[in-house]
This record gives sequence, C-alpha cells and structure tokens, in this order.
Amino acid sequence: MKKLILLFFLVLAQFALPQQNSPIYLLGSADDVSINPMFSPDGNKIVYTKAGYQGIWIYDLATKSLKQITDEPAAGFGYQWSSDSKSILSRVAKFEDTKRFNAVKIFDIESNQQLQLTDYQSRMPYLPVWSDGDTKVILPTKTGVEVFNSGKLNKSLSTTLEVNAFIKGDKIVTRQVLDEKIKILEPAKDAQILNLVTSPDGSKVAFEVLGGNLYSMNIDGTNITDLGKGNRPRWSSDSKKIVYMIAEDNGQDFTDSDIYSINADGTQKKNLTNTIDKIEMNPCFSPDGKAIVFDVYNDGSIYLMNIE
Amino acid sequence: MKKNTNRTNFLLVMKKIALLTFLIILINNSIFSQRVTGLSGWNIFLDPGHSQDENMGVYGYSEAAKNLGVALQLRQMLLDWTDIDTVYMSRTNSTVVVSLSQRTDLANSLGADHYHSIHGDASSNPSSNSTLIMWGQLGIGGPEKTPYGGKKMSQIMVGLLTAGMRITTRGAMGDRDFYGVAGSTPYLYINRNTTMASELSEAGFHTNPTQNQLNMSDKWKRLEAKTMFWTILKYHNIPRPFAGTVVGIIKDIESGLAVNGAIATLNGQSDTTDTWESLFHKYSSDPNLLRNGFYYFEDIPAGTHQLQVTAPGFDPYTVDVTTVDTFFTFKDVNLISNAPPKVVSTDPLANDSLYPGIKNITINFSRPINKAMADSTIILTPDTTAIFTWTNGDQTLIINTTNFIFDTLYQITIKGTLEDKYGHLFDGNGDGTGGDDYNYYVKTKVKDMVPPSIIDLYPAFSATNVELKPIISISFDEPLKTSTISATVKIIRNSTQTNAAYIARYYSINGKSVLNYFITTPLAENETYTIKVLAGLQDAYGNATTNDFTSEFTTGNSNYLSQTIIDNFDSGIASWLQPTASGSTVGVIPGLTKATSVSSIFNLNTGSTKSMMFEYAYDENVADSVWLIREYRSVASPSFDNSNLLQAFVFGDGNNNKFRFCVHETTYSTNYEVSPWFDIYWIGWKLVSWDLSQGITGAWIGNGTLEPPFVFDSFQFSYVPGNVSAGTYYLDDLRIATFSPTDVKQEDIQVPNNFVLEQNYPNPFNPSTQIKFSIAKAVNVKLIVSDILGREVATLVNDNMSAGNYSISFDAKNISSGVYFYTLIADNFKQSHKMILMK
Repeated sequence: MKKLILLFFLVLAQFALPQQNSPIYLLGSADDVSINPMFSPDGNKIVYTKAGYQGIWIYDLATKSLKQITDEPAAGFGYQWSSDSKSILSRVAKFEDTKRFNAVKIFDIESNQQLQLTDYQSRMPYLPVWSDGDTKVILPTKTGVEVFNSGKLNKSLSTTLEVNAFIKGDKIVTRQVLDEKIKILEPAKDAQILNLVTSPDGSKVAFEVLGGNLYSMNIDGTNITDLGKGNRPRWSSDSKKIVYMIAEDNGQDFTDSDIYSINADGTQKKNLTNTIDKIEMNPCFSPDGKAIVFDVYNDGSIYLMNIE
Repeated sequence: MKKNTNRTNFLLVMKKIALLTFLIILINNSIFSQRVTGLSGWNIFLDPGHSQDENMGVYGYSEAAKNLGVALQLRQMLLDWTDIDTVYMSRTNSTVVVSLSQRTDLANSLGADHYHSIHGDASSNPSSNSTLIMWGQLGIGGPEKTPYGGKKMSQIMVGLLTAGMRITTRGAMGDRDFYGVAGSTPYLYINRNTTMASELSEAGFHTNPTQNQLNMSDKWKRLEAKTMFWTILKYHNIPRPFAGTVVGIIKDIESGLAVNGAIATLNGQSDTTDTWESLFHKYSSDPNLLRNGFYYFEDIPAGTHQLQVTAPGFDPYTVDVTTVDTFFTFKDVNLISNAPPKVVSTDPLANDSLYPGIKNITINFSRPINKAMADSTIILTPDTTAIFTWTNGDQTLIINTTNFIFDTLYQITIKGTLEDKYGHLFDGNGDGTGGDDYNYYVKTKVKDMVPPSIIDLYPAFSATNVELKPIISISFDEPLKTSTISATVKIIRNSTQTNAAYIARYYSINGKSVLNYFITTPLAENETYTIKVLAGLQDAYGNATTNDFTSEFTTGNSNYLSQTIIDNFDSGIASWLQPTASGSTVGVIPGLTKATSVSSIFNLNTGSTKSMMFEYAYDENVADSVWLIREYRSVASPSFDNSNLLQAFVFGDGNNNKFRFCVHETTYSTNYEVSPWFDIYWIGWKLVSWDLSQGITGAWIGNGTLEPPFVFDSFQFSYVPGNVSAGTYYLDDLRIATFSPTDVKQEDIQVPNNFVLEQNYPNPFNPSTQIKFSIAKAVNVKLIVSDILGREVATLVNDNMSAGNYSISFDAKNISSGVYFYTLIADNFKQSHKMILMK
C-alpha cells in the first residue's frame, strides 16, 4: 500500500502538482471529446470514454499514454474498475437494424482480452456490478439476479460484510453476498432512482431521485440525508465524502456546471470549481482524496485538479 | 305455462341480440383498435422536453405542458396498440424538474433502444410556425452519430408531423447543420450523450397564437402523438392499420375564427370542440378570447360517412366524408352564422349630418349582403339617383352623395326582404329575427360658408420653455384645401423674421384636420416664435379665412434628448404580441383590434421610417364594463431606472379614449406599474411623457411604487363609455429621454444660394454626430448613410424640404465601429463625406 501511495505522489509530481483549483489538462479536445473519467483504485490510471459513451480508453498517468480497450457502443456508461485495477466491467451494446442487443463484458486492460458473461440480449435494463470480492459479477434481472464467475480467482477483499446494491425502478435492492439475502428499500416512494453508487466500504449508498435531489443513505436504508441539488455522485475511497456536479440547463443544452464535494452526512459542502466559462462535469476522487479528475463539457477535455 | 314459454323465448331472443351486438362491437374494435406486431424486442425512451411550465407560450400555455401531453398519449398508443417491449419516459407529470443529465442517464442506464425528445419551438415573431426534426450529427456537413437510426426516424417523422399539423417545415436536419456550430460531436445534448439512436422534434411554435391555442387541446396533442406513432411503425417497416382518423378545424366562414362548442358527429361518434368552460378558462378570463375549433375522430371505418356539425348560432352543416387509408382524413368545416344580417354602424351616425359631395354615407352590415338585391330593397327618400358601392367583402355599402341637395332630411330605408349572401333575411330592428325594415335618417348640411377655425395648438398660446425641436401642431375643425396651406401657414422667429426649418405633414382625421410641423433644425434658444395662419386658408369647400391668426411661444434652452431607444419600430413589430394575445386584454372585438407595422405614417421628428399602427374596436356591450388592451412587448430589454422620462410619440384620433405606459419591475417578477391615464384628445402626432422621477403611477397590478430596474412591458389602452369605440392610433419612438440643455446652436436662418453638405461633427464620433446641410430650393432631399461596401445602413432624410439650412443628428448606437459615408442627394446635387464611428 505504501508503494501505491508513493507511486501516486510520483505521478502527481510529474504534473508539477497543481495549485488548488488550478486544473491540469490531461487529454481530449473539442474534436476528440473525452468524458466520464474514473481513477483506477491504485491511482495509476484513468478510464474514460468518448461522446455518446462509445468505447473505453485507459490513460496511464505515469507514461501519459493512451490505450483503447474497446470501441463498442455504450461501453463507457456505468463502467466499473475491478479492485485490482486490472479489469473494467461494463455493459456493451450492438445494434442490428433498429434493435439494440446488450451484453456484459469484463475487459482486461493489459491484454485487451474480453470475457463475455452474457449473450447479447434485447432488453437489459440493469447495469452489472462486481461481487464477492470481484470473483463474481451480478446482473439484476426482472425476477432476481444472475451471478457470473468473473474469472478472478482471488478475492480482492473480505466479503464478510459485502452488500450489492442496485436499482429497480423506484426501489433500491440490496443483497448480502454471503447469504444472498435480499432487502428492498424505498427511500423515495414512487420516484425513479438513478445513478446509485455504493461506498467503497459497503456501508452507504448515494443516489439521485429523478426530478429531485441527491441523497446519501446507510446501506440498510437508515439515515437518509438530502444532499440538495446534485448529479452523478462518486465516493471517496475512505467512504466519507461524495464528489458530484451541480448543473444548469435550458432544456436543450447545459448552460453551467460546477463540481462540489460534501460529507456523506451533508456537512462541509464545498465548491471545488467556480468558473463562469467552463462547464465542469463527471468528477471522480483520486484514491487518496487529494485530487479529482473531471471533464469539461464545452471543451471536450479531461482535467486533473488538486483539491487540498 | 304457455305464457312462461313465450317469455323464455323472448328472453332468449334478446340474449341472442345482445350477444350479436357485443360481437359486432368486438369485431369493430378488433378491426379498428387492433394490435400490430413487430415491435417485440424493441423499446423506446420518450423525453417530453423541459419541466413544469417551462418555456411559456402565448396565452399562458407552456411548451413543457404540451410536450408531456404528447408523450403520454404516444406512450399509451404504443402500449395499447403494439407488442412493444416497453416505453420509458423521462417524466410523467408536471411537478418534477428533470435535468438534462438525469434524462440521458436514465435512458442510458435502462439501455433503451431509441430516444425521442419531444419539443416545440419559440420565436419573437408570432407568425413563425413550422416543424423541425434534428438528429445527432458529427460536425457540420458530417454523418449521423452512431448508433444510427435518428436520421431515418427524423426523415420519416418530419413528413408525417408536418402533413398532420398542416404547417411548413424546416426539414429533418443534422443538429450541427441546423445550429451552424462547428464541432465533432452532435450539438444537442440528448443526441450527444445518449447511447442509442436519438432525435429531437420541434412541433410548431408555442409563440404562435393559433398554434398554441391548438396545443392546449388534448385532441391536438393526440394528433401530434399519432404522427409519431405512425412514424415508429414505418421506421420498423410495420404495415399501419387502417388510418381511420378524421380531423378538422371548424370555423366561422365570415370571421374566419374557430368555433368553440361545435358538436361534430360522425359514424355514431360525437366530438365537441373546446370551450372556455371546458378548457380555455385555465388561460384567460375572457370567454371570447381563445378558440381552436379542432375536432378529432378515431376508429372510423373505410367508406363514406356523413359528418354533421352543429353549433349555437350557426346553421347546421352536413357533408359526406370519405375516409382515406393513406393518412389523416382532413375535413375542415366553415359554418354559416344563422344570425340575420343587420346594420352595425353608419357614418354619419343616425340623424347626424353630412356635407353632400364631400362626405359619403357608409353603412356597415354584420354579414356579407346579396348586393344584387340592393337596388330594389334600399330606398332613398326623397328619391335620388345615387351610386352604391360595395366594399369589405360586400359588408359595407357606400352611398355617393354627390347628387344630394343641401339642407335636406334624407331617409334611407333598408327593406326586410334584403338577404345576406346565405339567404338570411335582413333584421331591421335588430331583434334577432329577420324580415323587418330599417330606417336611417341623415340630414345634409347647410351649404358651408364658414372658413376653418383652429381648435387646438401646440405649443399653446404664450407657452414658455418650449423644447428646441418640437412637433408644432395646428388642429382645425374641418378638413382643409391642402393647396392653400403652404402660402398661409408660417412659423417665424420673431427676432429675425425668418422661417423655422421643418417638414410639414397634413392629416385629415374624423372630420377634422391637423398640420404637423416637424422641426428639423433646432429652434434658437430663448427666442420667441410666432405661429401664423394668414388669411386665405381654405376649408375643403373653398371657404377662406379672412383674418390672420397669430400665436407666440418662447423656447427655453432644452430639448428632449433620447438616452435609450426601447423601440423605434423601424424593424417592424416582431417584438410585440398582437393585443388579443395577452390574457389581460378584455372588452375588445378581436378581429378589429390589432397592431401592424406601417411606413405610411411615422414620426418625422427623429428620422424614423416606420411606426406601429394600432387599430382598436371596443365592445361597448361587454359584461362588467371593463375594457383594457395590453399591447405587450415581449423583449425584456433594455433595462432602465426611474431617473428620466419614458416617452412615446402618439398619433391621436381625438376620440378621447385612454392610453398609458406599463413597466415591469424585474426585481419583483409580479410587479407591474403603470403611468396615469392620458386622454387622447388630440389628433396627429404628440410627444407623450411619463416622468418616472416624479414617482406618480396609476393603478393596475403593482403596489403603486416605482421600484427600478424596469423593462418596458406594454402600451395600454382603455375605453371611455360614450366615446367613439373604434379608431386608429400610430405609435413611434418609444424611448427613455431627458429634458436637458443642448449644445446645438441656432443657425442663421437665411435661404442659402447653393446646396451644401458639411463635414459631420464630431468626427470621429460615438455614438451620435451632427450633419449639417443646406438646401437652395424646395426639392426632394435624400440623406443616406452607407458602409464602405456601399450598403445603405440608414436613411436620415427622404422628403420634400423647403429651402434652408438644416442639421440632423445621426445616432449610430446600433451599428458597429468603422468607416461610413453620408451622401446628400437633392435636385442635381450629390455629395458624400466620410465619417468614422469609434466605439
């Protein structure tokens, strides 16, 4: 772990460690729109996608090199790193005539090998999640969940308390990994839940309510906290903070967006960007919580920013 | 027992009949509401654009509400009539506010097959109305985004939607091509950030009054939804079931207005057009303001059916309609009012008088008349040979009075046997039943031997501190013989006995007349001037004044100086709604109350080239005796405070009805303050000012306190019972101004020997400069400003001008910095000078 931390600081040092709120350009442009960056758990890499969430790319912070993992449609929406920072789990799509077919895949970022867990299916309204210390992948279905072997043999973490959480319409479903016990939560009755993210320690979730605010909640459904207006939350690795965006739009396009961080209990809300000419979106904490990556909607680029 | 057996048989027969009826209904339903297959394994995400009541349209009905209504109906059609997997929606009510990111995130997380965003469009031009479908495009001129499908869906939809709405279209376009903004990804967010095929539809303009009254209708929204439903089937190459949908608009054939509460019956179905009670009360307190006349039938089988339409106040209407399978079957209906024709107005009024040969008799009927019957049913007593001329679609009769003799009572009798164009008998006594006579008496005047006399004057007699560039106005009690004006009317500077420089205009209004003198070169400061009307000025009948009239006034050292132009109307009136489009307008006759951009009459005091002609017709019989017209300006700029004058030049008609200004206090969204009412007693042009610094307001829906900043809201008008209820105003040069000392010095008023164009001063300038020129003789003069490419950017003068020295101000506030040329063209003289605008 010390090595990882040292490596992360070395990586930041290569970028002359930005001043607070002084973003460093990493990649992308108006002609090569890049979005939705996410730090790998080891802090060495950033996964990102292109406009329309098409394809998956990896940016190596040490070498500043880019690598395309896939060009499949929809691969860049809802993707997740494995805990060992070696794989990306995603739901991809292919289109035949007018119809969409979806499949769950695991991409090995070193070998570019793909492990296809499902057939291409015409209706797959749920996103897959890692489970059981990354040795499994679960895919919610209309009636329950499907469980797939991920091909990873060694559990990346203790699964004693691990809980999967996923959305089914206006409900959040939690599933104990050990005993597969299901619990259905309705934090906002009759309201669609979206952008649910589970904290790294598995104790909390953050989510949006369609047409409503951003919330945090204990995984058992208690302690629901209204975090106010906000979208696309992501947790810090210590599971204490959430970084997210507050955006304004005119119904056809975004007119403004800034990035905020907030404690899970709703305290210490902090504006991390406060620009009038940049539309900052899709933030993600670095593993040590000292920096964020995000994209800027109106220039198509991804930036790294120290937030200490 | 026998009796019981008969009863049992009867019940059996009845059961069989009931069963048969049920089967027939079932078969019918299975024919016309059958499920189509082919959408299994496919789903769509419908996105009704915006939230709550965002993007408010005219009459207080929002685009967001329309979009939601269309989406809900389309979803139901797809679920009821097809085997589609499912239909997702971004919102299903008008309470939540759903952001763009949530819309696309939800669709992306659900893995929807297709994304369709439903919108309407807006424009500052209320006549704009067309469709547009935009698919995601990878740069200007670029290909469609992947996944493909949005372009194909757009191309199908634009044809069906446009044909269904029966409006024009801007087409199906890539969003980058439409917006013209360079980039490598789709321009619209929903096209750019969705993982599936997508497009956005703009179905007409909610800023178009006619369109938005249709948008209010659930049936109209169903029409829009059905074009999208058929689009989806065609997109999948699925044969459409028999269309069987008959729609149309029911209108009054004479007024062209849609009819509320009309009942259409077709093939056993009945549909009633929207009414104030059923719908429009949500958007207006005026029961007569809103209408759409739209009817809609589905499940009409193939064949010819009889469409019957009835409506209170109209003759019943029946027509055969043959349903088509290619699309909607359109059948618009023009209803004929069953009200008998009657006289609605006369000029002169009954028992009034006229001057024969000068003024004719005008009779306005409520309906178009069968003019072939006029000669035998309209009788003049004493018997006189008179020419009848019909105008206004045969609703107006003009009786030429050339052969009338002076000082005689004439009786005009219109017989009850006269018919309108549709065969309804004339209603002489106006009791609603035709067949009775109408008698109208007009007296011819004693031959006029009296010369014209002055009834109003500006500046008033002995006025002091008069502005340096006024519109001098002399009003007379009757029309003048224009050929006698220039020789008899003078405006003279006392100290030098020289003429003031002006452009003169003569207007004859409602039996009176006015001379407006637009001063072109500012008058000298602190000088006395005399308005002289010399003996010899004649009225229209040749009676000449025999005495000189003089009236003096004295200038001060100030002039009204424009600080901010709110609207000079030179670009038309696209920023203004029609008066009946405002929900605040009550007590008017809609078709006769309207605003128009005109270049025939405008304010010559400021170099204007157009004005707003405002025609009004108050309904004298309106309930509650409430009359208000709000002529609303929809552009919320410029902003101004309460330190200056809010002014407009108003061309009055002398009917003594009321006018006022209204401003919106932008800090308090619901606060609107109005000026006190101005009585429009004058005819011709007059500068009307509301001194905001005085804090004096009228009463409307504000708190009576002026709390800046403001934006201009509206001109408002009202009726004074007993006065003439219809007339015409012209409005020009709405502005914020000060009454301040000016640096402009009076020039020596001598008739120059030559044409001269002087160098402007200051030069360079920002934003205004003075241009002086001399005219050696009365001639048509044109002074234009052009850019370095020779394109004319302003016309400062285009008029007949008398000899003299002139100075005109050029305000370049609205053009960009650069080199410009100004050119004087007069007689054979043409000269240009260069000037530089530096902002």
